[in-house]
Amino acid sequence: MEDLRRYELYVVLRPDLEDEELTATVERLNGFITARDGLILSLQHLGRRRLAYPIKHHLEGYDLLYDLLLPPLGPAFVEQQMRLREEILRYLLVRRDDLPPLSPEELARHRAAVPAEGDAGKIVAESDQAVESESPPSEGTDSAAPAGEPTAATTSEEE
Amino acid sequence: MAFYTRRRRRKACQFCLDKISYIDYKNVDLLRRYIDEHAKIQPRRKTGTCAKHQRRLATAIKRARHLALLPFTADHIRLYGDSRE
Repeated sequence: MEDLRRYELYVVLRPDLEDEELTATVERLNGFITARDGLILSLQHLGRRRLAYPIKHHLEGYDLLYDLLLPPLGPAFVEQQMRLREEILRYLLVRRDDLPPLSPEELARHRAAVPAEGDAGKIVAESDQAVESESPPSEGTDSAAPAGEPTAATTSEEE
Repeated sequence: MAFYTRRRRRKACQFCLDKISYIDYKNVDLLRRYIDEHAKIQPRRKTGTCAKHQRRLATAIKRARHLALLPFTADHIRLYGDSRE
């Protein structure tokens, strides 16, 4: 159960997504991770940048950076799902065994605060695809977001 | 050097000196120093990088290229310019 491994996921999205499409895409990504009982430690919106070469005729990309924990079968599932999404131009999912493991307290803190805010970005917690993953038996901090409109909670991307 | 009078000083591995074990593929400015104007990875003999760090450096550069953080070829540089702003 506790054999979660530390990964880093870098995603390059198409630059022409509308705000709500971006939000939906991020939610979907979060759903891929949480659907397999993965844990998002942080999510940074690195934002738009110029690509070193065009990808699908796009000269720019919108970058996301996840720090996350995944169970053994998680990476295969997440990658398989990401490959199907055409708004994802590129992704890179790498193991970060070089980082020191989380202490049990840190782990518990991240588990409890599922919809917590990341340092530079924000984490979109609730996802429609994450329905089968039951919430951990902590107190219901993750029920703060209204179930009716899960997209409305996070739309404050600046710059 | 044709003569043995002046021995070339052995370059030290910058990563060993800085005690860096993980070379981050996101650190584009660092990686840029290890590719030439044709976007090729520089050999150890030019940069003095030790074998261990050269392997990690190569991996990091390749990861960065995949994400279009770094160019693959000189054409990428010529046609799409310096990807820094």
